[in-house]
Amino acid sequence: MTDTVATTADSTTPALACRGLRKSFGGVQAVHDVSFDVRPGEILALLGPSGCGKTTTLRLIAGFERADAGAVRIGGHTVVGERLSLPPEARRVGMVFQDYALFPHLTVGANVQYGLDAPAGRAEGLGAKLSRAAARYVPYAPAPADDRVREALALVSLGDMADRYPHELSGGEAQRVALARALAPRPELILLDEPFSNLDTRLRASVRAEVRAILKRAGAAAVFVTHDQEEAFSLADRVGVMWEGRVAQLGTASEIYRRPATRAVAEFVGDADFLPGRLAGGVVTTELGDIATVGEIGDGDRVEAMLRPETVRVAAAAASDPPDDGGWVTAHVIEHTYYGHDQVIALRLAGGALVHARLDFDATHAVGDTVRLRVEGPVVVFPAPAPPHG
Amino acid sequence: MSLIASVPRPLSTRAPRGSASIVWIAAIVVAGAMAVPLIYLIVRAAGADADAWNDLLRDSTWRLLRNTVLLAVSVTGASIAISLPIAWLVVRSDLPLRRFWLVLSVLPLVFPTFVGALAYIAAMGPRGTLQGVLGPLGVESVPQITGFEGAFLALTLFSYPYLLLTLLAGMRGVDPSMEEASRALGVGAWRTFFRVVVPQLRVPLAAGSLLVALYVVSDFGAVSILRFDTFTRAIFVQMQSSFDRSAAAVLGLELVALVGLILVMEAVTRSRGRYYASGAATPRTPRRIRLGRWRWAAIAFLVVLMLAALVTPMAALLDWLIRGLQNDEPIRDLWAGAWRSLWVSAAAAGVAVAAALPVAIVAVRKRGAMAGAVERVSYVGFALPGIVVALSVVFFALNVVPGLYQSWTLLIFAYLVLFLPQSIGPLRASLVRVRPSIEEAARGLGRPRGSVLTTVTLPLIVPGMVSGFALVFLTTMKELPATLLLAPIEFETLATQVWLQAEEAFFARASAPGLLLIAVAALPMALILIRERGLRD
Repeated sequence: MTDTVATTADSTTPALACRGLRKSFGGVQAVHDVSFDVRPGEILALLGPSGCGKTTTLRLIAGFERADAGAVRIGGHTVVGERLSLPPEARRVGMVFQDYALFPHLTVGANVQYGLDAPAGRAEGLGAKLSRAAARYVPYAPAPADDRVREALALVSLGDMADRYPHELSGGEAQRVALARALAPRPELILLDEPFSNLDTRLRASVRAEVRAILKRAGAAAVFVTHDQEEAFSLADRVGVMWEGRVAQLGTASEIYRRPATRAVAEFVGDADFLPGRLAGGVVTTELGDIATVGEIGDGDRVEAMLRPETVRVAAAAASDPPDDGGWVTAHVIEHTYYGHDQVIALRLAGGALVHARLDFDATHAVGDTVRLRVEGPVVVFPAPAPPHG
Repeated sequence: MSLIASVPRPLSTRAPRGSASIVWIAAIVVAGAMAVPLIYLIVRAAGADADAWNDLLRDSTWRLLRNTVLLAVSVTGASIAISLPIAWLVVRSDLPLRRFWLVLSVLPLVFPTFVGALAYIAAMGPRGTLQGVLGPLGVESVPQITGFEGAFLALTLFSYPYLLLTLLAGMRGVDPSMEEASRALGVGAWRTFFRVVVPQLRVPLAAGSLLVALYVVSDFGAVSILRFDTFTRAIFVQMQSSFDRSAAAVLGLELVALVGLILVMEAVTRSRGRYYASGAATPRTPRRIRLGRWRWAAIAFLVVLMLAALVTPMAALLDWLIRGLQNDEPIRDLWAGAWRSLWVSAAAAGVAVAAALPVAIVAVRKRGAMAGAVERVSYVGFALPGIVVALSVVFFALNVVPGLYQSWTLLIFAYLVLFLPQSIGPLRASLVRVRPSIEEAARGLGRPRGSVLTTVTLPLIVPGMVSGFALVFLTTMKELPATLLLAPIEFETLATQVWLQAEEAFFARASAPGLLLIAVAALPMALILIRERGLRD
C-alpha cells in the first residue's frame, strides 16, 4: 500500500488521512477500501443510507473497531497501520455520540474535566507522578479548578452550567456539553456520530448552525456521520457520499447535487428522473430533444440523462410567454403535491416517460392540464443499467 | 481563540493492552470454580463400589424418592391452592384492605423453614404453646406433628409466598384489553376470568411452582427437625454416621437428577405457546370484580391462613423465649453466634459480589458461545440443593486441599457456589443500563480500560453491587446444611444454634436465635415493601 501522507505536522498536513480502510463483520464487507483526507479546520460529512458503512468508518477512525486493512493518520501521526492499531485513548480524537454518552454520575464540569490530565508540577518527583497516575483510577477525583473546563464550556455558551448534572439538561444543552467535553483536551479531530438524530425536528436547524459555529470558532477539523442530506449539505464544508461500504463521491454539496458521480448517488441525494437517450459528441438525444451534457462518459446508444426537478421549466401550453423558440415538448400533469414554499408536479410525456418539475409556490398548473416543458441543461449522463437477463 | 493546540500532545504508542482479557480470565476462573464441586461429586459417585450403587435399588432408596416427590408435589399443589385465590383477591377483586392483606400474605417469607418447623413443634408438643392456650378450654391433647404432616404443613406455610409473588406479577401483567375484548364478545366476568386470565397465568404459575418445588426438594432444615426422611436428611445422616461417604455421593447425585427433572418439566411447560402483552399505549387498571357477600368467606380464608402462617409460629417462639427467660435458661452463646453469622455472611457477600463482577461484565458486554457458557455455569448454584453443594465441597477438599477441610475459606467457597447467582442478577441488571457508548466516550477521552472501569462503570453500577451484597448477606445468614457440614468445629452461627437446640428439643434455647434470624429476614422484606412497586396496590 502506498502511503502518501507527509510525516511532519505542518499546515499542509491533513488533520485526518484514511487510506484503503477495510472492515468486515462475519463475512459481510462493511467498509470497502475507503480513502479520504480531511484538511485542518475542515468539516466533512459522511452521508449515506443506513448500513452503508459510514458509522463503521467513524468507529475505525476512533479506534472502537479494529480495521482489517488500511491506514489512518491523525494530524500526521499514524494510529492505524501495518501491525499497528492504537487504542482509542491514544488517538487524540474527540467523539460526540449519538446519545451524547454524558457520564450521569458526574457534573457537567466534571464531565468536561474527565478528558484532561491533571496539570503536571514543574519538577515532578516520582511520588507526584504516581499519585497523578493513580488519580486516573479514582472514581470521584476532586476536579482541580481548570481554565480549560471554563474555556470549553464558555465556547459552547454553557459557562454557568458547570454544576448541573446531565439529567438536568435539555437535549440541545446535553449535546453542547458533549461537544465541549470532546473539544476540551484539544484533539486533532472531532468525530460526531449522527449528532442531531436525538433532537426535536424543530430544534435541529438551529442546533446545526450552532454546532457549525462552535466547530469553526474552535478551528477543529471534524468528521460527522449522517443519513440526512439536508444536514450534511448545511453543516459540512465537503460531503463524502458512502454507498455499499465505499466512498462513492467526495466533494462540495453543490458538486454532489449537480454532478453526482454515480446513479446511486444521484438517487440518494435529492430527487431525480432518468430519461433514456443516445449520447454523441457531448449532446444527449432524448424524448425532450437534444440536451448538452457534462462529465466524461464515452458516446453510446444506451445512456440515461439525469433530470433534477429544479432544472425542468414548465409553461402553459397555450401561453405565448415564454415564446416557443424550440426545445419545448408538451406533457400532461398527472400528479400535484403542494409543499408551501414550493410545489412538485409529475408530467407524463407523449412517449410515456415520467418527469417531475419543481414549481414556485404561486404556479397554478393543475392535474389534467396540458403544459409545455423543457430542460435547462447541461445534464449529467449515466450509462443505462444493463437489461435484466433472461 | 484557537482551541486546537499547535504543539501536539505527545502520543502514546502503546499497543492495545489486554485488560479485556483479564476480565475474561477472571470470569472463566469463577465459572470454572463453580463447576468443580459438581464434577467432583460425579467423579466420587462414579468411583463408588458396587454396593453403594446397589443401594439405589433397595427399598429404602425408593422410600426416599417417594417421600421427596410426595412432599414436593403436595407442597406445590397446596401452594397453588393458597396463592391463586390470594393473588386474584388482592389484584382483581374489591376485597377491603387489599394492600394490608397483600403485605400480610407475603410476610411468612421471613420464617426460614427450619425456624418455622421449630416454631411448630414448639407449639404443638405435649407441653407446647397450643396446649397451654387450649388446655383451659378442655382440649386434652393436641396432635404431635412430625413426619410427613409436619413437613408438609411447615413447608407449605413458609414457602407459598414464592409462588404468590410470581403470580402477583403475572396477574398484573395480563393486558386488560383482552378481558375487555372477551366482555365485548358477550362473555360474563367470571367466565372471562377463567377462560382468558387464568390461561395467561400458566407461565408465572409454572415458574412459581418450580421455585416452590426446588425449594422443597432442597430443604434440609425443616425435614430434619420434623424427622421426615427425604434425600437431604438421608444424605446428612450418611455423612455424619458412616465412614464410607460413597453412599452419600450416590444419594446426592440422585437428588441432582431429581432437580434436573423439575427444571426440564418447567422448561417444557414454558416452551408451549407464547404469551404477549399486546403493549397497549396506556395500561389501564382492570375493573375489579365485586365480591358481594363472598367477601366474608374471603376474609375468613385469609384470617385462618395468617393464624397458621404468622400468629401461631410467632406466638410459639415468643412463648418459649419468655419461658426460657423465666427459668433462667442460658441464652447460650446468642451474641457470639450472632456475631459469627454476621461476619461470615458479610465475607461471603463481599466475595460473591467481587466474583460476580467479571461474570456479569462478560455476560452483558461479550457475545458468543463462551460468554453464554460462562454465565450458565455460574448459575449452577441456583439449582443445586445446599446439602449437595456442601457434600461436593467436602469431597473436593478431602481429595485436593485436605488442609482446607473445616476452614473458613472452604465454608465461604461453598456459600459462593450457592449464592453467586443472587449477586450476578442485580449486577447484570444495572450493567445492562450502562450504555456501551458511555464507556467508549471515556476511552475516547484518553482513559485506558482499567481507568474506565473504576471511574465510569463501577460508580454507575454501585446500586446493583449493594443489592447483590445485601441479598447474599441475608441468604447466607439463613443457610443451614452447608454451615453444618463445613463450619470449623465449635463454630455455631444463629442458624446452626437453632438446629442443634431444636434437635435436642431445647425449644427455649432455640427460640432466641430463631427470632433473631426472623428479624434479619424481615429487613429485606421491609425494603421490598417500601421499594417494590409490584406490591403497591
